[in-house]
Amino acid sequence: MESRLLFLPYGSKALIIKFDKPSISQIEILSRLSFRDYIASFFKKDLEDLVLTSDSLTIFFKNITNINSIKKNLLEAYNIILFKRNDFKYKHWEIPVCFENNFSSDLLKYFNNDESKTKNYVKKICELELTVQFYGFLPGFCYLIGLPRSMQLKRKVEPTLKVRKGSLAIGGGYAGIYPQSSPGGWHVIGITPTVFFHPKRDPNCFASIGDKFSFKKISIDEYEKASKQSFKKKLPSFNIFNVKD
Amino acid sequence: MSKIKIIEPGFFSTIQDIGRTGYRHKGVPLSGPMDKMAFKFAHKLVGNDYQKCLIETTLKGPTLIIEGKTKLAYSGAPMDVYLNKDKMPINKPFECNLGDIVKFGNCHSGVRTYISFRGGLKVSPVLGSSSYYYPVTKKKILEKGDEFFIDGKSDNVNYDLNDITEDYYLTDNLNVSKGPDWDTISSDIKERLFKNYFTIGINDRMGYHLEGDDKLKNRIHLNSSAIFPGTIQLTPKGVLLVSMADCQVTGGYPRVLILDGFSMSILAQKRRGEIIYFEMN
Repeated sequence: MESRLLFLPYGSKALIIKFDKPSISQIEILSRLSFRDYIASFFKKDLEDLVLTSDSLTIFFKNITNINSIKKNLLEAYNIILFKRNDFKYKHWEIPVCFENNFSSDLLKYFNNDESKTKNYVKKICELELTVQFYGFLPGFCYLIGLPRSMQLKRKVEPTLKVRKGSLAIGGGYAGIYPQSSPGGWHVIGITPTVFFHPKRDPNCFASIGDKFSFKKISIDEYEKASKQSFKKKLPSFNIFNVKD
Repeated sequence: MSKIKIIEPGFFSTIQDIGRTGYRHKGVPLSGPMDKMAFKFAHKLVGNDYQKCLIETTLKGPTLIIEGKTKLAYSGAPMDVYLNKDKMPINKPFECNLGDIVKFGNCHSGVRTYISFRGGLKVSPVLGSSSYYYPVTKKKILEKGDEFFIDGKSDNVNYDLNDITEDYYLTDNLNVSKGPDWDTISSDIKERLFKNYFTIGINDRMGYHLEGDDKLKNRIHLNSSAIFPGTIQLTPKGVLLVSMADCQVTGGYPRVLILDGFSMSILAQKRRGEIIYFEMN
């Protein structure tokens, strides 16, 4: 298990805690998440925000903060969290995705119009369980890990100017869903009616870091019908699980 | 209650307050004014606190009709501003009455002008802020026919800035400090950042591209990590990418430099083709 941390000051109000490698398992993500929660409860009102990514956790303070005086506390807390046996709760979400029509045209292109390869890829992605590693890029855009090496697709050389809202896409070792229309360099393989970010919904993003996703194939009719529903009705179904490390 | 109505929106005018904090972990940018200094000064001139909403304009300002009575001031990039037929000076508040038309023209130089009304514009907040950022907010820019009430008061505000001069943004020097990934770049690149000038390339509220030195090309690979406005990343092609108010919350290029607040205000007033130099703080 990891234990080394690197502290990088970032301006006068932020501190980056760099882990020695990107998280590669759900347990690793969940234990970094409990480190994040510890920091949140330790600094409380002095905090502006905490941003966890694949190999870093950035602490944003409201005011200028002396980083040196808190390093020791953070290291101690990290070691306690690492060596404590943890019992984590997470949600497993089932995301409906339509792979029909042109929604997987990027995939077909990637496989040089080989339809059986494309079909096989779609079949395999529906058998996977992916984990939310972090949020970034756009409001509600989550980076999902867990793609086997054989299913990783090298990013496009030239980004597409408009990727549709709800597009499920693959970029390198990551899968992600575009919560809004945007330019993007990932290969679109399907589309979901699920709303991944809504400023008026509580919570704005239904999934937490560490949650699992799997994809359920739906038809174009089902996609279009679900798209017409209000954002509140478009929450996917989920189950709650416990995991021990 | 007094009200303003937009007759002409200008080129790219938005509503801004001090910004949207606390939602970075969900991928929501901070937003807020591009030139924070001019924003604060416009508010100060009419006695507002910094939480209030005002109009940020880009290159060309709006035309408004005043319904009621208000005091307004503009700061930042200078432009021809008319209250009915009278030309109104920058950085000096003036009173408006029912039916007055205020016309903001084109910037003479600079890019962004801040128009503040005493009491502030009433705009419903989304996630704690009224700053426009589509699609978090329904609106992206001001449009013809938009109406805003002017409301609220500010008591005993402690202003943290002195009066600004009209030409504060005319310098080419930007003050920077080392970014968290400074040590990932070669000593040659480090030197080059301060030896050469850079030319402003494409830019918007998300960021500015600075170009001009082919030798900054590199093959540094990092994982995405948090970034905040003012951070300067170095892309593999050797372009410097300055994150501004609407920047993404994470970035994957080395964060080599950080602009100080005053220099961010200066950069927000620079146009494509202008040049800048870096100076280490």
